Amino acid sequence: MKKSKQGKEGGLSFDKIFKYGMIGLVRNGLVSVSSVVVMSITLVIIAASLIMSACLSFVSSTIESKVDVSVYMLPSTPQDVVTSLASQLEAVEGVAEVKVTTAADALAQFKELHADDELIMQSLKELNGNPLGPSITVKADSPSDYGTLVAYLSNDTSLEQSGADGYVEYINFNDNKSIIDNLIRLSNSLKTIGLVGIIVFTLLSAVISFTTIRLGIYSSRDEIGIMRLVGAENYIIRGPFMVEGVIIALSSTVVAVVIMGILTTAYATRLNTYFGGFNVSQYFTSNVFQFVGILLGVALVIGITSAYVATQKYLDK
Amino acid sequence: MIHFDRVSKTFKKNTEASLDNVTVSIAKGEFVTLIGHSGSGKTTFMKLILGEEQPSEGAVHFDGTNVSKISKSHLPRHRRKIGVVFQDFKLLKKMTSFENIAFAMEASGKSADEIAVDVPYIFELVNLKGKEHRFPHELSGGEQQRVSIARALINRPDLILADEPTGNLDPRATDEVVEILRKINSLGTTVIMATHDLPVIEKAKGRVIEFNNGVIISDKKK
Repeated sequence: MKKSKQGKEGGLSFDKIFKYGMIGLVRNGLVSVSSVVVMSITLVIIAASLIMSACLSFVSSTIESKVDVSVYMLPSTPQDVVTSLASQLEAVEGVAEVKVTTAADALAQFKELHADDELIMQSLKELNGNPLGPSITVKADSPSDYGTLVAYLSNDTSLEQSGADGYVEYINFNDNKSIIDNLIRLSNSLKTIGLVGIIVFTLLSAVISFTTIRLGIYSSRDEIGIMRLVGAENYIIRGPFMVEGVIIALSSTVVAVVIMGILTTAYATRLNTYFGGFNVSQYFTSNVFQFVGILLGVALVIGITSAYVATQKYLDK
Repeated sequence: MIHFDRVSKTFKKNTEASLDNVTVSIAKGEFVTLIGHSGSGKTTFMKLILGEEQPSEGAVHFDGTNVSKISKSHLPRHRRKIGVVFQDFKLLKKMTSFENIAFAMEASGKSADEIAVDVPYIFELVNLKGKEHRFPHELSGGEQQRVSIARALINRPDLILADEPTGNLDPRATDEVVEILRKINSLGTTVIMATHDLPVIEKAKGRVIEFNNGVIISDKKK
């Protein structure tokens, strides 16, 4: 045999490891395809859970946006008192929006609402003036801020600062308190369900994917034994399996993103109805890079970890 | 080259043959045939040299190194000094004959140029020219065993361990394999072959060590 110079003892370059990974992937076709299919399903489930969580979050925000507190004031309230109270409320912590409806606006809205009701319109004319007072509608940053806001409005000292003491007719929050509390509970439950759903589905599908890749490597356990007997270093034996894991992860991410693109487009209209205007297709498209990042990250972790753990079992023998 | 110093090996589950207080030395360049019925301890003897098993008592020395003291990370280097041939060939099924041998070379850090030169040469040596790109399942038993021998030889090891290398072969292929092993030995490589096939023992010549229930019962030169 020709005597030739020897390279790094026991060494194998990355391109060779990559080559053996590709050989393993191609010649073990059925197992490789099964791994890609199972991991793609895993990623679709994770992506669907993320979208579902976003849907529930949207529904939750919609519910929250319906909640507000209205402060109804007496018709005799001077406009500067209303303006002063509105400014004071804007400065309260947790207040997101303050909207003033003047007495004239309130009357105009009332007339518009009851334009077809002759009895009411006739009664208004007979009153000969505006029976309605101004009101201030306040929205909080989050439902839990309404308690603070109502406590503030119920405090005489707070009202005295703007000269509004004695002008407040009533605050509608207490009337709707039980409804608002229920809505807050529902909103929080939806968020929790979304989060738990993501965690449970991610874990379950990751375990299935992990097991599939490990089974694929289990079928190569004899080959691992032979590689050890010819004196291959552990990283040379493990490397190709990890390359396979990476390629399976990349392929599965592409497949999962394409499937999610098709599914969100196909079901956009139906889901839009279920989730009160949430457009899943638009949401997926506008966040596609984040989806690719998350799915690829999860796929790589599953692919590389399962290959590492599965080969370690046979290398330790 | 190899020295077994009062080596005993017992297995917890009795799944493999044990060895009982074996002391023996094998010099560089010897052709040693290990004989004995199945379960007499021949394979265990070889696994101890390879570092696949550790002795329960005593020590196995290879080129002055206590094999059981070799760390896990250094075992691959130790194994690259030894070529191994098995009864069931143990070829990598997903690789062609060429790739099986190239893998052993690459595992030893050989360059692509060296592989391009040495692999065709070894195929000629074991009379397999033209079958480089066949997968193991496309070869006969004798051809697979010759690929296995080629793989064992390719890194020019100090020692060849052949465990029942003719066990699955017809008489003609058996003769070829024994002839190749003798040729390798004549070039200076130490060969240890386990067999219980009488015609093979006759053809092999050299030193014959007989095992029975894990004990060496005879050690003769033919």
